[in-house]
Amino acid sequence: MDELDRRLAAADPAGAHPYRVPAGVVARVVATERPTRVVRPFAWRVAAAAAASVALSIGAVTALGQLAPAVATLEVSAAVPSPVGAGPAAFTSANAIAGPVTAAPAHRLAPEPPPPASIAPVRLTGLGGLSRAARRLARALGVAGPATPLGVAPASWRVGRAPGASVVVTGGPVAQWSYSSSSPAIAPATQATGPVRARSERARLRARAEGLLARLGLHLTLGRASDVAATMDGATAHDVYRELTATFVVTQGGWPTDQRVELSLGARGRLLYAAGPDVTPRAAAPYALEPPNAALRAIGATTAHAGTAHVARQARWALSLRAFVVRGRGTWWLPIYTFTTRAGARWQVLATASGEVRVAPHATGLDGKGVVAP
Amino acid sequence: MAPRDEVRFRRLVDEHAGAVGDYLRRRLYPVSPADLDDLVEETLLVVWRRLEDVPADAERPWMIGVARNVLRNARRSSVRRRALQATLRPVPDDPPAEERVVADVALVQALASLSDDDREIVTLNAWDGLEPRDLAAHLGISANAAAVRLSRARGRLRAALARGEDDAKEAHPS
Repeated sequence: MDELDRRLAAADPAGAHPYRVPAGVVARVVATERPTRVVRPFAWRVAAAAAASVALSIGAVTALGQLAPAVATLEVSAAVPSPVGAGPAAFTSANAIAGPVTAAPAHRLAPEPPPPASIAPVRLTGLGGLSRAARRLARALGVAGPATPLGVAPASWRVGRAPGASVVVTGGPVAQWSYSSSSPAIAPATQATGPVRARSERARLRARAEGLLARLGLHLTLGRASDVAATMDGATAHDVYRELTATFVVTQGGWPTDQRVELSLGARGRLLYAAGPDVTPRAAAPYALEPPNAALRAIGATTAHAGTAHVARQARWALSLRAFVVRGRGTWWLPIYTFTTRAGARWQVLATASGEVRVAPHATGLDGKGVVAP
Repeated sequence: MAPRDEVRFRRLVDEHAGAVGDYLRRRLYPVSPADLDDLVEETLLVVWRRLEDVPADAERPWMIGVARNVLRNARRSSVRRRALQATLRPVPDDPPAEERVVADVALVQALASLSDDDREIVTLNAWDGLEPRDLAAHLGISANAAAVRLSRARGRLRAALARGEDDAKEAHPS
């Protein structure tokens, strides 16, 4: 080693403290799905022959069905409450259990299309600290002013100057942001509020919501609008819109989630209010998905929910993604079945095959069988 | 997923991920541990997905090459973000990592005076421990060409150091 090497070595920024990879990084990487390799024609024939022989063997098929995918086990430690203002479809508002409790609950469901064989859980990561996130969103929305802490539990930061426009970011398992313009709400002399049925207006709101998310750097996809309404100056259909509001379900991989994006536009299309989650979704390797009946049995196996299983004879199920805190791995969207009876009773159960998702002892917001508390 | 693949991946992590993290930190210093972990994770994700492509005889250079591309993408994103921010508030450009990190001022200036290619090959050799054979795999050139390029770059660094020290003597004669 000559003098030049010694000087270069002394100037090495990483020389004093070599980097060590956190164990969680490796576990997350290994848990992701690897792409399928391109298969050549010859290999196709070999693969097809092998696949056919496997398919002919019931034992092999059974064995394959029992094989656990090489993905990390997720240990759920808490169910994340749906965000405030998540719209009329918020699950927490409709979790009441009705019907008589019976000693021998039946587990039958009305015929439904089968659910997919697997579904990918999705890790939700924030885009930095709350104050940093508030500044980032404020910059994107053109809001000026100091960043000030608003509260500790939950922690929240606001950027803006009262009574001007402001951006607020509230922490938690799924951080939420909101933007509010400076326009004071002055009630018109006469006012009517009702759903917006015009397709063009709904499309305009959707385009604005998608454009807003892109501007904020949030890679979220929007599903159907769960609520679109207009407040009008005057009480007739010919009056001018004063404010249009819409609530969109955030979707992931085509599945609805428990998160919502809200948008409110003024008469001239000016953004008055907007809110949504400040997260980046990252899908992991798909997990095997248990059928709805298995999830329903989980409800029946829990004494506290025995009555619901009886009621669920005529229940319909829906598959969606809900946020859960996973021990040591942050917040994830995990699949849940939501069962709804004709009477309006509704409850939710984690919808993954046993062994791949575990409920931690003393988890909050759900029981050991994965039944989410009302 | 075949366990054999995972075993190989974990061995690659054990043997080379530290070097990948150091490579990224050297070029981004100062960088927060969280940001560094994110970049390493992104690099390892590519390695995991392209495990079959990792050459057995040049694993570390290949992984550092992936890290270099990840870093390049991150810088591009950063540039785009700053361009957006610049419309709202001017943000001063950050100097290159080497300029901020190295305490040896003469060496800082000498490194800064080199071309990007020269600086890269010198630091890859001196800091990341890549020998000419590894440099050849990393840069996609022959081992002989890598050795020649490294030798010439080091020569230019020595000359720049000498020039800088001569200038310093002229400016502050003892």
